[in-house]
Amino acid sequence: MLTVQRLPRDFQLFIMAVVLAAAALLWLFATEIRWQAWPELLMFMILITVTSTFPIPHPRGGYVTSTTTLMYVLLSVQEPASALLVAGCGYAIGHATSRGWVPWRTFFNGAQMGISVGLASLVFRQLGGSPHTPGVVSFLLPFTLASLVHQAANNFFVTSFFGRLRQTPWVRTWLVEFKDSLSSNLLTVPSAALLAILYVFVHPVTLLLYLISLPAQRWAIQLYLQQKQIYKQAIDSLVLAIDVNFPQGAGHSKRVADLAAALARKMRLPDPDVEAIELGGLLHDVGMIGLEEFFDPVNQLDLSVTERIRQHVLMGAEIAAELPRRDVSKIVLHHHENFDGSGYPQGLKGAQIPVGARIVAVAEAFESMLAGGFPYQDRSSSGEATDAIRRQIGQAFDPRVVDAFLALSTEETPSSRHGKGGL
Amino acid sequence: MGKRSLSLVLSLFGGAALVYVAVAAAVVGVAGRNLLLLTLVLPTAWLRVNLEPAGHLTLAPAVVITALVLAPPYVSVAVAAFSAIVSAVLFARMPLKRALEDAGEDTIPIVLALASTGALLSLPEGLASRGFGQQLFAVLVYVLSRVVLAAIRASIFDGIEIKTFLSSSGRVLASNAMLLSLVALGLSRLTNIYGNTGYFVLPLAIIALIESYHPFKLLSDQRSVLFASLSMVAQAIDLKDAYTGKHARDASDIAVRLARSLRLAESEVRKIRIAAILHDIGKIGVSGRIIRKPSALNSEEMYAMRQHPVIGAEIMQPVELLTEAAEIVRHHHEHYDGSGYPSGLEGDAIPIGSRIVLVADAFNAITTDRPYRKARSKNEALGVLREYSGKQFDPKVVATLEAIVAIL
Repeated sequence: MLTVQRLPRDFQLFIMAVVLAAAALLWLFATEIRWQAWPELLMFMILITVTSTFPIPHPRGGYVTSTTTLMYVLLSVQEPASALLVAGCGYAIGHATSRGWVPWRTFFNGAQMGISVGLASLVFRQLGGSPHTPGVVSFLLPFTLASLVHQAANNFFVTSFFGRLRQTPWVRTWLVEFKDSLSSNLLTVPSAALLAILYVFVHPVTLLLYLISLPAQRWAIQLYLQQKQIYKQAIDSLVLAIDVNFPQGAGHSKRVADLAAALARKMRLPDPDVEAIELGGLLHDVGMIGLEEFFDPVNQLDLSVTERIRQHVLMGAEIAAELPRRDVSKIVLHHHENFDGSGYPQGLKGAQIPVGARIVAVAEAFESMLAGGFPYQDRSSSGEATDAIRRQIGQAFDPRVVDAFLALSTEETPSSRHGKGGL
Repeated sequence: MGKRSLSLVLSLFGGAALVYVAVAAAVVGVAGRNLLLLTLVLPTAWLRVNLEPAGHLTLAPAVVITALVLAPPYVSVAVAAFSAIVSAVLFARMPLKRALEDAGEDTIPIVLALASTGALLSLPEGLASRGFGQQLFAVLVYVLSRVVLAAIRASIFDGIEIKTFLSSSGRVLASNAMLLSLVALGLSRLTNIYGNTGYFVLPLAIIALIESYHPFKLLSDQRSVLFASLSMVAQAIDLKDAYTGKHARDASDIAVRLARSLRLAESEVRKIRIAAILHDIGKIGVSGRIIRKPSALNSEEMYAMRQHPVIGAEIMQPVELLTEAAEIVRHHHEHYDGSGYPSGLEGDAIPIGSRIVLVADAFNAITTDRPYRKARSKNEALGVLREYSGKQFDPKVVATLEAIVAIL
């Protein structure tokens, strides 16, 4: 656990500045808070506290809290100063109960959330937004812009916090972080807008109805993630069983899949594509089953055998077509195409070859050379294999994939990313 | 009623509904706000959650009931029919005929609801002018007939007992339709009071509903990915033998049918489905030369071949998802008279799942083309099974197969 004494000096200053700024803003605008609306403010505070105590796992990894939705309702139906006070306090309390009471962290979290929400609320007012006159220009547009302001401010505080702590370039991280959380943020806008309208037109208590649906969602997502994990294990161990017969030995497919997924991530492909590429890597040689006697050293590789081995990609693609995702089957079909068009089965060239197949081709070549199985006779060291791949740039392999591969092999420890929201 | 006639009735009704909608739209004309309701069909149809053991739910009731209250009768029928067709064709990739069945299944309840309030022919404006009590009554008719129809369909199409269905999918279906209908009644009230504000809220509400239902869709999609992957693995194993394509999946469908007709619990049915798909996975540990050998095996080769159920069970045992099906795989070559392998179990000592898988696999193997012989008819296959009933096969299972063979 971090303690204030061990933190760098400018980091301490940053935290102090944020907390003081929040306090100063609150002091300056305290007169604007509508204290007569205290029951509503109290309800918001309790809801924000509760929701930030129970984070919901996100299907794509990490956690989200439904706090964001409540923040957006809050910033549209209350004054900016009230929003700052309620959001800050609620978030700080929720954070302290769920992650433990560390004074400087709790205060910083409350302060940054308060400022973000207050600022967004101010923007909403300035743009003429009001939930009392629902319409696209009079409500939805200001509402969406305000949500973007909130997100940008929140990301700014969190990334500069980590930037100072880890000495990473925070401006770039900030932009990346903003881009990554953009879609999930925009998705919460419609439900938040709906809740704000119901709040005004029906009754503030409608917010509680929304809260009721959250445990069910949380349960479903947890079950989904658990099932996905189990399913992955099942497929992995079945592939492992199949692998035993391959010349490269058990675990080959899994290693190819892991490397291919790492390359795809390095090339910044979207998550669903990475998933398909990982699966394609896992299954790339599935058509090889039934051919194991050809790898018997007694047998010579005559022409008909080579032909049959070449057919394995067709068989494999047909089998992989069972999956609901078509791109996996394409990867299996084309993973022996060469970048210059000299490969099989269709002799595709360059960008005609699906990017996943180009990635799996590099991953498979590298892993096969390390293992020394078919068609490479001897084991190579990692350095030799890398050299061999570099020599084939533009011939067998896509230069972009090889770039990613070389970057990956020189990298030491990949830096870990952090989630959205708080610390 | 048989499978064919129910399917015919449903698709005829679906087709009739489409014709009615087209005629009514041409006569009455389509107002702008009705177009909004029809557009909302797209997102509601996208959210398709498949239920276990049968049936599926969408968000359609929310829009259907809103239309029932706010729009002329033909719009609510149109919303019901279109959302069923769009959902089936675009998002579940079903053939048009199945989509028409779905349309029939979804429009009958709304027509009944309209008829029960006498609004079918008379009202141009929907139920807005009627009291809340009448609206609620129409909703109850709608929900009830939906569930009853779904139960009938599951029992005739998938052989699921009505009681089993009502206590699983049926319950989910009913509470979902009820909840969405109540939301829709609330929204229509808002629309009646505030006019345009209500129509502004409607799309927002649909998106919010989609967001909160999305986890359940992920969960149900995950399940179908799982079965697709397992049957893919089974096909891969089949490469060692004469490759027979979708053989494993067909055998598994037959086994599930048999299990349901034998009134086994749904948990047991799930095990049997997995075991039937993966029953030959142990062949991965047997040399392809032995598996493909056309002549008789010598004793050493025979021993290796007879190991495959054991190897299969050993592969599945450590995998959490497959553990419970491993025992069925281990014993799927036991014979009813005790002459099978690996343990020589006899009669009811053999797990019921193994007995079912053996029959389903044999029946499916005889009725599909193999490289060394042509497929034989279902009746010939039944003859073969009957001949070995009590020796190799469990007589109860064979008798059950005879009873259901007409609908396979």
